[in-house]
Amino acid sequence: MFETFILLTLLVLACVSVFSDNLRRSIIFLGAFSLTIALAYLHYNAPDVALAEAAIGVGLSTVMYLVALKKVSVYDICYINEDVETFNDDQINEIMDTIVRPLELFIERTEEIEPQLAYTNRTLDLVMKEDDHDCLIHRKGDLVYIYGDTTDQVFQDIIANLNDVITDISDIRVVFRDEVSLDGTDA
Amino acid sequence: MAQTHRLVHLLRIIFAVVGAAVVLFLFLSYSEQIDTPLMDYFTADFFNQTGATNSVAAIYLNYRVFDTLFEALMLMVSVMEVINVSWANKHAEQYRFEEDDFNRKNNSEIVIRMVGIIYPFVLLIGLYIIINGHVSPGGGFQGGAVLATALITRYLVYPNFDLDLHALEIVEKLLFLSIVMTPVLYVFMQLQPADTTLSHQIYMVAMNTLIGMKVFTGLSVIFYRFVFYEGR
Repeated sequence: MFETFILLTLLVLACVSVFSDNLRRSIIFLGAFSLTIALAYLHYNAPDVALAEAAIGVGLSTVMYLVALKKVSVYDICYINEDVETFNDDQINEIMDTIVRPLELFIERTEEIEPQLAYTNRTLDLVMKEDDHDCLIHRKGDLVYIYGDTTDQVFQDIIANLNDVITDISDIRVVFRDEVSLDGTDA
Repeated sequence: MAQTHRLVHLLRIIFAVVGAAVVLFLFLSYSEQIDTPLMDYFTADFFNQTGATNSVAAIYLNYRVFDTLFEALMLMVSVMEVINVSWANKHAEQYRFEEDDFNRKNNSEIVIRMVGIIYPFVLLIGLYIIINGHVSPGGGFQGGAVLATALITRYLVYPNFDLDLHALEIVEKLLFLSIVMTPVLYVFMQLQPADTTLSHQIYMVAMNTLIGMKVFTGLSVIFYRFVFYEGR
């Protein structure tokens, strides 16, 4: 029973880490895979091998992959929804299929850059002033604004393919940050 | 790279060929008949013969210590490979960190706090695995890998390039020399102060410590070499 459970878990973790859309998730799943296979070695009475697997697989290679990922270029997107009191999983799941997944897939597959999404309920002014995101998605009631720079090639590509990327929301307004200032006057 | 003399070059090649021939000759002409099955030979009386409570340690530090030597050699060769055969060697200038040497803003607060709490325990468990290698599961390699993980995690918290990689590399080579010398003197030539369990155990602890330190320096050198010189 225990054996079947461990082996099935291994299979599932391996598949998930291969088919995951996000590299960071893949690395974490790979660490979980190493931990489970260490448990399997322990179950088969090989504590020495289990210890080596735990030290190398969970410790060394995970940290190494994470450091390598840090050196990979990341496209930083921030999703802002000021109407939400506190951001929890429900809100994120709500926009998962319409915005998050398609955008992540587009950036990963077409642009070959690692996407990174952050969610916040702070005001737009505050985020634009304090943080340095490549792209901002701002939701205000039913309207969706997307902010970016004209010099940003990736952002230009996203805008050009916006109809194919995000199909569920037809009315998205694009704002170029370097051409328009926040109070509506030209910069 | 400095130009070596042609004669020295030739001598090295002859030395390597003669060494390979000797090893091949010894390997092909040697045969030993053991009247018991190999498993019984290794597991029947290992505590009295080697002083190890853990049969795996008895095998890799006494019965088959020859294998361990080549394992250590393999790690050292890969470290040398990473350092000398890297394409980045052509413009091998070490990347320097910015003036503010403790830039916390780019690093995750969660990681910094958690690593600070876990760090001493990781070091402790690494040392425990090394010292207790002949009693409990573990040994030099596993303990050294755990220690190297601790040093590498330091990079996540404090990405500063103040390690002297050259010194670490030399330490690793010296450790390899002592790893080769200790079993050659103790196991192969039987230069033992006394044929007691205590003496055997001291040998085991010393070997595990040497292997652990060597794995620790080797893995750290490989990692920091990649971080310093490769990539952006």
